[in-house]
Amino acid sequence: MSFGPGSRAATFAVYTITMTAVGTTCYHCGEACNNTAIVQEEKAFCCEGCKLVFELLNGHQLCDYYRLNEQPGIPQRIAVRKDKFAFLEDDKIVQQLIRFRDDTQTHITFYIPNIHCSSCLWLLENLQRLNDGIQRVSVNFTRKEAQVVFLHQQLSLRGVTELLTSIGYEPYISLQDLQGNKPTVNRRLIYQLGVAGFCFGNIMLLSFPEYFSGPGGMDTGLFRWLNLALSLPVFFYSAQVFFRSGWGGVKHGFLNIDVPIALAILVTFVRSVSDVWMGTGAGYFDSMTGIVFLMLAGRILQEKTYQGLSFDRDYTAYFPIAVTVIDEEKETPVALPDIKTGQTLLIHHQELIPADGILVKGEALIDYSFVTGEATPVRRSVGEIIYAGGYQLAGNITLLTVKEVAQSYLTSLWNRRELKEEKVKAPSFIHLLGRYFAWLVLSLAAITAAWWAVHDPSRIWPAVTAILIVACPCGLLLAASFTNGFILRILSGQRLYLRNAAAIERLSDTDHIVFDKTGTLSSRNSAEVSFYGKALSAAERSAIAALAAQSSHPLSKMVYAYCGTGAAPVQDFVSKPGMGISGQVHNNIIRLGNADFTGAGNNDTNEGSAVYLNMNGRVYGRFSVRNGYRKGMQGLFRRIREHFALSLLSGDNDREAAAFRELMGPRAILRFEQMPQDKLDYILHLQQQGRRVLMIGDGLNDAGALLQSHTGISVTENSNNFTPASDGILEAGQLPLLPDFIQLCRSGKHIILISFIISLVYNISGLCFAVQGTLSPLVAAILMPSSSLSIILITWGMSAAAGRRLQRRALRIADDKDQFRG
Amino acid sequence: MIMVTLYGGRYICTVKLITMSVIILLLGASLTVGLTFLAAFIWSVRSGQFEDHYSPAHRILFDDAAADNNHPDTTTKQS
Repeated sequence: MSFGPGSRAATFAVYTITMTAVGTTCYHCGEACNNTAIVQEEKAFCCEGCKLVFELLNGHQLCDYYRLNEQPGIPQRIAVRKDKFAFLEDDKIVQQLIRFRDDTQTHITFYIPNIHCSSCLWLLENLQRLNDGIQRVSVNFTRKEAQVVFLHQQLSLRGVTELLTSIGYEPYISLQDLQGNKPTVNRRLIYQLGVAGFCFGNIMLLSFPEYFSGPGGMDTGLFRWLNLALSLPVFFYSAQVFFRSGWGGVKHGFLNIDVPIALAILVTFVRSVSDVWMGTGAGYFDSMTGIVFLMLAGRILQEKTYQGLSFDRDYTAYFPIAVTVIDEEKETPVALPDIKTGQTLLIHHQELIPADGILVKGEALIDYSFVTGEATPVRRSVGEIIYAGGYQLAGNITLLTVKEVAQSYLTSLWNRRELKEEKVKAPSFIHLLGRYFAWLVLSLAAITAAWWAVHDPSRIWPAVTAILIVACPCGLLLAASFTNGFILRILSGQRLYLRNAAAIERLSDTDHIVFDKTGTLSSRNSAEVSFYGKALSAAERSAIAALAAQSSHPLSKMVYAYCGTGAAPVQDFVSKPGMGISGQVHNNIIRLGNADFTGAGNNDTNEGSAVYLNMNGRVYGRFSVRNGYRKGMQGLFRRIREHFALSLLSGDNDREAAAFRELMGPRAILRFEQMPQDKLDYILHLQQQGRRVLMIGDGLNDAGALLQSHTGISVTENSNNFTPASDGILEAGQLPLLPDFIQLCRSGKHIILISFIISLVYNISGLCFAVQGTLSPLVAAILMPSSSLSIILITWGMSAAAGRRLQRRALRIADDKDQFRG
Repeated sequence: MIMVTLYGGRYICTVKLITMSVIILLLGASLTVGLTFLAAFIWSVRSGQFEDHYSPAHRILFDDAAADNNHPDTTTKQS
């Protein structure tokens, strides 16, 4: 029986009523308990694993875990293999994983995907109560990381990992950890902003006496020198970003927008220093530091990073760190990069195949959905070649490697040279616009210089420097960085996470959209199940459901969902990996599984995955499971097929071609049975025709195409899942909003242009003073903040309006319940 | 006393000197305060306070006394 923690007798009745209505749920993880037998201390558990975790926590007085959140645990139905972490005994691997080690202590940071609530936080940070070897654990919740300090004389790294795994927090250790290319957090910009803000504020205060004392007022020499001193850190430290980027541009022969900006900062600084030095004026320190501060703020806003999301995952993030090698009857874990051809690998049930090899022993049933998008697992027999990247589903197998990990079919996709090179990106229109602007300003400065050379040579210097100060294209840069920053935030509010601001512009230029099918348009979650064969009675259905509930296999779960609920006790339950399950429910002996297992013979159905049903020795029929389409697809294609060229690339066969033709329109290009390489080549082919391609995919099979396309967006059910390297991550449910996302990016461009034109008004009025050589620091100090402030306000207001339009559309689409059935 | 001398023409110079030295004092004080806040800002960024917004907010709610598990009544519930 289950009732909430701290519940009193009065509420007991309510709990029992809900119990009978929805069935008992596990006290640990909240999953439905169909097998009612597992009860400990009046608490029901769905499986032995959950009960074990509870007993462990209960034994160490750690039951606050259940008090902070109800049913906070992670389902433990699938036990983790006992020697899964045996590779952590290997010193070479350990050395590369740990962060720090001295005589007694070791520090390591684990990535733990299961961290999801405050209970997790509490339990992990109290880990030392479970084992004395643990010194302290600190969790970074947003990054889902736990930093563990332990005494390695008492507890090995393997011990720590197994301790975490035993309470349901299995660390995720992949090949990527070994290569040590973790992104580091860059805080430099924030320090630069802090310093600029401090100096700007103080310089502004210290400039007041200058502005308001008037002629014959107090002596402001001291203030001027203080301003000069305060501007030094801004010029030499905070403004470095612009100098570096500008210099980089010059070196590559590309005049980006930072070139005129760096020039303007330099000129302002030199002019101001010379003014103070000669005693001819106060200089423009407040304008200079102010603009540096605001531009840095815009840059930070624009370079928003999403912690916990990674846009740079390649195959190493999916591959295990080590694999078991059989050498003279002995099983030893070997780090993946050290695998040579000709070695014998032992691949356990549910493990990934890391290198191409020939099957030596065992029965291979390989799920390549990750690589090819094909949902049905592939069967291979001894002597056949198995390509890397698939998951073994039917027990342990042994294979002889024929290629090294880096040379295997899947990994070689990444090691292709063209992908390593930077994508050829068209420079942003901001840089082009900034360039015109810079030439205009320079010619204006030249004309002014020529004019004063004739009339009054002493005014050349003040006039020319003032022009360069006023006409800096910082208005354009501010408009661009603030608009991009706002748009990134609006998009992330609708769960489209873009890698950077450049992706906004590329997305707005899209004219050809390429879709992947499996996992992108169709969903593994919204499977459609139908039963073909003898009609089932309600009692039979509930008996089948009771049996199917015993297995965590995805097909079982779907059959369970199709048959409704069933909580009858199951006897003689047997699960054969890769074959099926059997058991006795109410005197019915039921077998669910493949054709061989149920004795159905080889019926070629060619329609997704089939689960056959055998009851009491008679084959009743089969459950046909196929991927359903995501919600809102019809509406999506109705809206985009007029405006964009469309293509579909599917790793699957063409049995759904007619349905997609109807969905995507007569002009769409549909290609089936596409290998990852074909997808990449198709994108290249489109690009050679001058198309700006947006690729939308999900799996490793699309990774090459996602990288190659102008904008690659990977679709995921949950943004915490792993996604291949791409320019953006989109939560699957938001896919129908795609045209609105592109529309928002386009309006972003308009917003930048409009606010830039408005800022020009300020520039021009400043120029009127500048050409005459009469730009006083006070005028500059009024113009600069008012122009910057109005740009920030305008971009904010217009982006917010565009964001509200997007939100209204999102609500309308959420109401629209159209469901496309192929 | 300064007020009196303000009206005496002879002492204007002295008054100016006094006001200047007061301003220098104030400048020093205001810059020190500003620098203190700058240092605090840099320290807070360096110690990672802006990196994880979730953990510290929840950590503070954890009941240390519950460690001995003798207070089943003091349940802390969060969503």
